[in-house]
Amino acid sequence: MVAFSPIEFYNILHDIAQSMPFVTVEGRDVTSRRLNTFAATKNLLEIISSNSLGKDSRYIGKRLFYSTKWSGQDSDIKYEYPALFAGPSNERYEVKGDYYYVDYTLVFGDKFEPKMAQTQNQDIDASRTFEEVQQTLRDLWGVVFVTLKSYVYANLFLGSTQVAAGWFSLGYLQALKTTGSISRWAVTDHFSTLISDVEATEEVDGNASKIATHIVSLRIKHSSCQAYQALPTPSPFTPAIVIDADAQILFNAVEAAGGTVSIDKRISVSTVFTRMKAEGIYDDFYAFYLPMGGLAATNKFNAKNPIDSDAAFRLLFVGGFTHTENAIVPNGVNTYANTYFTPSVHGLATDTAISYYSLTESTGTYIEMGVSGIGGASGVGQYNIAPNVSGTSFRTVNSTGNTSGAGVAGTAGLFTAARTDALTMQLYKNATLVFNDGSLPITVSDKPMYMCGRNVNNASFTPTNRACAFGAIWRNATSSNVAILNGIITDYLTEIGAI
Amino acid sequence: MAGTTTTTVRKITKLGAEALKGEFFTEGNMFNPMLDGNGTWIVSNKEAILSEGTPFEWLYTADEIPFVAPSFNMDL
Repeated sequence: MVAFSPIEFYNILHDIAQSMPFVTVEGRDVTSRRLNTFAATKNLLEIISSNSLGKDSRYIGKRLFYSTKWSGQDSDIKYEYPALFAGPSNERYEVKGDYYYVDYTLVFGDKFEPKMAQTQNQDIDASRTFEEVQQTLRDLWGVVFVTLKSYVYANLFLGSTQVAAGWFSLGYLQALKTTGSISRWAVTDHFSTLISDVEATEEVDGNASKIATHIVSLRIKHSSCQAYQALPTPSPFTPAIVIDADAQILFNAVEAAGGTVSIDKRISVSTVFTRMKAEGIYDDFYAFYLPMGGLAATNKFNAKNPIDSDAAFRLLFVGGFTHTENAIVPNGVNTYANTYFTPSVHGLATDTAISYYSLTESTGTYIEMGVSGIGGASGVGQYNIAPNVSGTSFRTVNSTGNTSGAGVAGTAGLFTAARTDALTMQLYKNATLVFNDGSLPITVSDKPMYMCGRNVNNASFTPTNRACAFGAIWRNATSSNVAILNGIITDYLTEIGAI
Repeated sequence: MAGTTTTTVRKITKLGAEALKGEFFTEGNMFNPMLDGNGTWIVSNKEAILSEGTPFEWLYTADEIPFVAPSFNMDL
């Protein structure tokens, strides 16, 4: 289907009106036998009652208005009946395809005097009855309709040279060929395929308005023919993005270390900060780790305080890690990350927690986070996340020894080992409390906490092979705060496509 | 055995392990030579691969052996 706009439809109606021959009977013009005015209109009822038909000098030279009485040379619009007014009513767009339908109303109008003028030499037009005026208008529509259906979209040729293309009536094409202006034409579309739902909807009583009308509604199928192009993405109207100030400090550190962070990830990370702050848990964190940048040099930062120092709890990676955009991946052989967070120095004995989001389901002798006891003494002041060590869970938070039992089913998820008092210690998986153990004697380790493994007396370690997408050392880990953290981190990891 | 995979590591000497201690193979990530369950000094394949182009490139061609985990004792 070739491109066809409403303006082109008006142009065709204009040309049809303009091409109607003048009719004379006995040497006198019979103006009712042709359309003397055509106007594309905005509001049909308003136009009919307007003296200027809503037209001004802007319409000069455009095939949207035609009047036998106005050549466009003066400023006063002049027109006479019969007239054809055409305007759109409804438009309907197809989601599939590049075409749309416009319903038009065509008003054929002519003057009708309610009372016979008492003058001599009445002309043919003025002597018509109302019914005769109506029939005249109906006849004019008939001529327009037949002519419309004869329109084709054609490429015009003179010899082998294409000289024009567009919508033409077959009569006009034949005339061009007869005069030798063209030698042939090739039709690519027929107007008759574009027109539908034609009906006369209303006939206005001319006695009321002194204007007799014949009103026709019809539907035309238009095509933009791919004239419109989708806007590029992202849109130039992308709303401003507000990045949390502390998140921005982290991004600056990551970039300074050679990493890059996509705008989507920045937004997601920033949301972690803003939600932590909004929920009132941000200040409870000593450190939290959100891998980004895909390098050891970028995944090492404590997001809460992204300074490259042991005192800021920046991670030191030891062993054959793999670093990705969204995770720190230990190998389960010789990897651990030193947090430099020593519970006896930096933490509180009865209000403390560690969290580790594991992306990996695995079995084996693996511990995700932890540290052994004081001064190298066996089992004293242990602290760990060890939900499933070859089928056994070991639970201890700042306590002498540990409690063991069945391993937690499923090793992927957010694990939090916590205590908020001197009596009990908890192990959560996601937001669910899976163990709530009675207190063992409280002590706190004097060695640094390892992540992606457990520090064993600073002499060895127990590693894990479970990829870390989030790690944290914090306090005030009540069940509600654990649930809040789980919600924030789960949403974040979902957003970045890590889970 | 079909359906199972064996983790492999690179065998190094005690002298080599001492040379690697405290050294970084990439910014922010240190070597970690360790004794396996057989008392053999090893590093991971990852460290060996990433040693290429570093002063420790000799790791790249170190023998690949099955990993034997050290004994585990939670009371330590």
